[in-house]
Amino acid sequence: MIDAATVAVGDCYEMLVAEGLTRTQIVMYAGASGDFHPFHHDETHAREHGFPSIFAHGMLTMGLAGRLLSDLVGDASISAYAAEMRRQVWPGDSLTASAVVTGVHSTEDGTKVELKLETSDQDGEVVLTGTASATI
Amino acid sequence: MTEDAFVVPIESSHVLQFARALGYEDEHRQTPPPTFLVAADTFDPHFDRRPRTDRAWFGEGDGREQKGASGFHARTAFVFHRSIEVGEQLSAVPRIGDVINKAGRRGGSLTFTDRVTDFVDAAGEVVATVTWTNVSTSVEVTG
Repeated sequence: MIDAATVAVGDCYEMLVAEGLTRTQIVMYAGASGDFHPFHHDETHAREHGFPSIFAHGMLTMGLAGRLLSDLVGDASISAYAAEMRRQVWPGDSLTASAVVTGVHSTEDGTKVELKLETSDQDGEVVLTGTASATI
Repeated sequence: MTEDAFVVPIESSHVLQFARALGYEDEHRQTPPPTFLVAADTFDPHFDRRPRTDRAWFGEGDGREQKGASGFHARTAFVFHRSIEVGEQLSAVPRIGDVINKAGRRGGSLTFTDRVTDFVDAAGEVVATVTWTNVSTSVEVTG
């Protein structure tokens, strides 16, 4: 958890948010989110469209990266979270989410913290980039 | 353009399932994970990424769907005007936002379309806004 008293621009945080992502977790996400696009669970359909296998929903990747945000500032403090999906995430991938503090501002409601986010796979390939802000 | 609004209950077992799918360990939460509002699609009567009884589903080698023009999800942005609480009921009010055309790097054209959904509480206040950006292409996207 980020401490409002000591947070500074440039502070870095990191979290392993998936270790060998399973098809089962992708299916759990399909059920919980309601997104049953066959690319995310139907291997036959995915291969028919030129993909080597099914792949994770972009929003599963964003949700996994969001765990770092939840851990750093708490869900109720988050005021914005945006992300771009850079690469597909495949079964077996391990993902590490990172955050860098880019801004710290005193406000009437507390300390507003701005973060730059990046998530990479086990090969160091960036799969997601984003930004977030929170008042802690 | 305004589409139909629909009701989204922020229900504890739904939030629990969503949190578990993301690997959260704390199972009793008052505020959903930050991306939970995408699961509001579950309550959208027009949502096209779930099977429905009134039309054929696609997949499992039927050879249908996505021949020719195609698309992909590029970006999602959440803005929270206040935190969402388990137990409340929101109204989702979707609309089409910006539509931008660009030339694709591999030929063809790209159309970026923002689908913006405001989530409104019982007092009529917008508590969160979710913008989903889809890109449609004039050539099929494959692996």
